[in-house]
Amino acid sequence: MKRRYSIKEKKKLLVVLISAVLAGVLGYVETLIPAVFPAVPYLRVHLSVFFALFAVLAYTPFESILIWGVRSVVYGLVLDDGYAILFELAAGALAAVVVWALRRTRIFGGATMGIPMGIVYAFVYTCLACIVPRSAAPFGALAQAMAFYAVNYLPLGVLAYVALRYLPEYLIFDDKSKV
Amino acid sequence: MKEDVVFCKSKPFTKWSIAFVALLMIVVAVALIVSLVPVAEASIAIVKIDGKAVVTLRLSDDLNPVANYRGVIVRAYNGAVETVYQGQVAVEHRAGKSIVYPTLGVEVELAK
Repeated sequence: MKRRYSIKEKKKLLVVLISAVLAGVLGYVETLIPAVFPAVPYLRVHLSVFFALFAVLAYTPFESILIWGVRSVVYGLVLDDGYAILFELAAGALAAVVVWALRRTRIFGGATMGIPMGIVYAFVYTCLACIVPRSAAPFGALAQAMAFYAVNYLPLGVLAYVALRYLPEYLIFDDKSKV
Repeated sequence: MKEDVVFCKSKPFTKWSIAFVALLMIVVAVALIVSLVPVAEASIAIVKIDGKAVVTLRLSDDLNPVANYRGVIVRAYNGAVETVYQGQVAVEHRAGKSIVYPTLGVEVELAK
């Protein structure tokens, strides 16, 4: 029997698909933007992460992982590096799950979810970059990467929270969910 | 879904998140200061082979050949002209030779 999708599911799917496309486009654009300070290569603009943060705050980690996936493929193609796709996706997926878990515990404020996202992402990415090529070199920059990725993602988390709070609820959620 | 909407109305900051932001700002300030201090010197020679720039690096003894260096002073010799850069230098060890990518704001011009 053919499954019928509810309006809620269709709306969510539409928001996630549009977010994924925009994340892919912005993911390409941000590869063209150089580092803010040449001496600090980890301090970069990561606009596409806004959509992944938005998805994990609004829905579940699965939607966020889908957006990370699109971003990872774009990054991998631009950098011409197959490993980059896997590293990006694994790091983004774990970061999304951690943020989702933190969201449920409510220990962290909604506007600062970019910090755990950046820390977990940088940690997992750096660990994979050490384990897969069996090189300890990237590990030396672990603390620096974690700190600067948290800074990179912090304003995006604030933006995602503001968007979630002030966008009309019928754009994001089911109409029945209004409280 | 109701829970999601309730989350939207939740506090943007908690005491934990404010503490984390404060700690992060301190760490980043220290990291920025450390990053901008030069740590070592290296010299590079630029050669043009088949239309591509091949940049080789001579490291001082205290530098690890497989690493990312921040704040390295690079002295590039292009003919008789010496150009001094300061910035990030990524080094890879390949087949016994070191290749440097003078990235991030450093432009290398080749002699014709």
